[in-house]
Amino acid sequence: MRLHNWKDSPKMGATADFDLLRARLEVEIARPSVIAVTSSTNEDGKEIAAQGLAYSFAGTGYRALFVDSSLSGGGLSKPAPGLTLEEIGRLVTHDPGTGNSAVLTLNDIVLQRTTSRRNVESALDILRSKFDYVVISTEEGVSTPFATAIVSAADAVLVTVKTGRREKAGDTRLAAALRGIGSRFLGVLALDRTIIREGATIVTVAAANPRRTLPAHMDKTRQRLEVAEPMDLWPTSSKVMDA
Amino acid sequence: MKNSGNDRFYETLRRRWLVFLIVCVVGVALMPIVAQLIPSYKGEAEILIVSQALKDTTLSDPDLPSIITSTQVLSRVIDRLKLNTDPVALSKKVKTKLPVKSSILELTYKDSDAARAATITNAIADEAVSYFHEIATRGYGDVLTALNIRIAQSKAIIAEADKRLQHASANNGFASSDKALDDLTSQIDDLQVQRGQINASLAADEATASALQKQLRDITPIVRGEILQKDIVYQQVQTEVGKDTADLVSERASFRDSFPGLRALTQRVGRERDQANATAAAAIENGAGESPSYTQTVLDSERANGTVSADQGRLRATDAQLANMQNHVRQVAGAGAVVGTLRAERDAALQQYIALTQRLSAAQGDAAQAASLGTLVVVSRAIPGPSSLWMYLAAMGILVLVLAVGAVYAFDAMDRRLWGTPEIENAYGRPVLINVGGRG
Repeated sequence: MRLHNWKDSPKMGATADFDLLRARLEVEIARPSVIAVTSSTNEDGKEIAAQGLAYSFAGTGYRALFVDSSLSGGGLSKPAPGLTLEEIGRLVTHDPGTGNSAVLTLNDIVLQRTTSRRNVESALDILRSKFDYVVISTEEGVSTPFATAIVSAADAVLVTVKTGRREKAGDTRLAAALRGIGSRFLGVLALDRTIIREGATIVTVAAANPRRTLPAHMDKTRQRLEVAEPMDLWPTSSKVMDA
Repeated sequence: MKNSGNDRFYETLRRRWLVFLIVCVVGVALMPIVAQLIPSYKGEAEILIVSQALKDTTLSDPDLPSIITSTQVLSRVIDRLKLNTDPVALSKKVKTKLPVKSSILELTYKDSDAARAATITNAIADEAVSYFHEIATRGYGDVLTALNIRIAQSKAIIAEADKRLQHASANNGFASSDKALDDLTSQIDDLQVQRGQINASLAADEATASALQKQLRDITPIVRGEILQKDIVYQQVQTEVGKDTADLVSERASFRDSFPGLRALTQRVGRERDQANATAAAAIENGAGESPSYTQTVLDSERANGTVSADQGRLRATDAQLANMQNHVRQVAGAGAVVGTLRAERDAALQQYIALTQRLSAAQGDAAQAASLGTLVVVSRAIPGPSSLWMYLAAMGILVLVLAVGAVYAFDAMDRRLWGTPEIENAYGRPVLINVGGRG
C-alpha cells in the first residue's frame, strides 16, 4: 500500500467552489459521513472533486479522508498493495497523526476481497469511527458490485459531470440506477473540462514532485487552480481533536 | 418560476440559435411561394333569385351554380378584370351553395389577396346576373337593339327635315303662300285668253292678206295688158316686130335658109323682140300706177300684211308675257314643291317614329315579361378585408416564428446530449451543487 503524503499533496484549485460545497454538505449531512463521488463515464473528474472536497474538509479542521477506489486509478491514485479493510482501519487508527494516512487507494482491496455490501458497510463503519468525513472516489456509476455497494452504503452520493456537449444516455442510466438502489443522491458537481484535463495532470505532477516547475503552457492553468504548496491537513486542528 | 421558465427558453434559444435562424430564413424565403399556393382570403357574395320557376313547381329550376361557374361568365370576368388565368383555373376557386328552399345563392371565391378576392367575387356575381338576364331575354335583345337604331334614325330624319324646312321657309317667304300662286295662275289664264284672241285675229288677217295676194296674182296679166296697150312706144315696137316677123315668115317660105337676106332679117326680128320686151318691162315698171284696180289691190294687200304683222307682234308680246308668268309660276311652284316635299318627308318620318316607338314599347313589354320569369339580384357584395399585404406578412411572420420556436424545441427534445446545467439537472433530477472551474 502506498499512502500519499498530505504534505506532498497539492491543495486543490477552485478552492472557493469546494469550500462552498463543503459548507453546504456540512448543513445537509451529519458527521461522521461517507460521501461517495461517482460519475456516468470515465474522466469526469471524480478524483479531483473528491480530493478537493476532502481537502476542503481537512482545511476547515475536520478529520477528513480521501479514498480513491477507482480501478483505473486515474491520474491521482497509485495501486495499493492488498490490504484488508481492517488493516486499513488499523493503519488509519494507528497512525493518525503522521499525516500519511489521509489518502488511500482501495483498488486491490476491492478486487481481492470486498464485494459484498455488508463488508463494504463494515469497512465504512470503521472509517466513520476514525474520520469526520470520508470522501470516496468510486468506479464509474454502478458498473461494478463494489462501486454499487459503496454508493449504496454511503451517507451521501455526489455525481460529477464534465460540462459541454455529451451524450446524456449514460447520465440518465446512472440517475435511474441511483434511484433504484436507494442511495442518497444529493446532487451534481459540474466540472469544467479544462479542470479535468489539465488539473489532473497538474495535480499528478505536483503530487509526484511538488517542486517541479510546470511547463509554461500549464502555468496559467496552475495559477487558476491555485495549486499551492502541500499543507499539513491531518488532525492537528483543535477543532477536530475537540470533536 | 416564471423567470426560470424564461431563462430556460432563452438558454434553449441561445443553444439552438442556428436552427431558429435557418427556419426563419427558409420561412421568409418561402413566403411568396406559400402565398401563391395557399389561398387564404375568401370573398363572399349573396345573390337573390327572383325566379318564377322557383314559385311554379311545374317549371324546372335553372341550374344557377353551373351558370355562375360557366366559362361564359368566368371569361367575361377575366376579360373585365384582365386576370392572368383561365376559366377552368378560376372555376376551381369558386364555390356556390344554394340551400334547399332558399332564394339566396351563396357565392364564395378564395384568393391569396383579400382585396382581389372581394373584387373577383363581386365581378362574378355581376356577370352572372348579367348573363342570366341575357339568357332570360334572349331573342328580344336584337329586336330592341334594331328598334332603337331605327328610332334614332327617324329622329335624325325628323331633325334634318325640320332644319331644311326652316331654311327653305327663310329663303322663300311666299313659298308657303298658296294665294300668290293662285294669282299667278289667274294672270296666266287671262294672258292665254288674250293670246287666243290675238291668234284668232292673226289667222283672219293672214287669210285676208293671202286672199289679197292671190287677187293680186290673178290681176297681174290684166294689168300688164292694160299697161302695154296704153304704152305707145311698146305698141310701135310691137308693130315693127309683127311686121318684120311677117316678112320673115314670108321670106322663109320663099327662100332657103342659105339666103343671105334671111339671116339679116332674122337678126333684126330678134333685136326688135328684145327691144319690145325691154320696152314692155319698162312700161310695166313705170306704168303700174296707171292701173287703179292694181293699185287698190296692192294697197289692200299691204294693209292686210300690216295687220298680220301687228297681230304677230301682239302675239309675240303676249307669248313673252305668258312665258314670263309661267316661269314665275314655275319658280313659285318649285319652291312650294321643295317645302311640300320636306313637309311630306318630315310627316313620314314622324309617322315612322311613332310607329317605331309603339313597337319598341311592345317589345320592351314582351322582354320584361320574359325577364320576369327569372331574375337575379346581388343582395350582398363582398367587402375587401384589411390590407392583405400587411396581414399576410404579419400572419406569415408569426407563423414562421412559431415554426422556428417549435423547431428549436423539437431539436432540443431529440437531442441526446447534455449542454449545461439545466440539462444536467433534468437528466439527474437533482440540482447542480457547484460548477467547478466554470468561471475561467
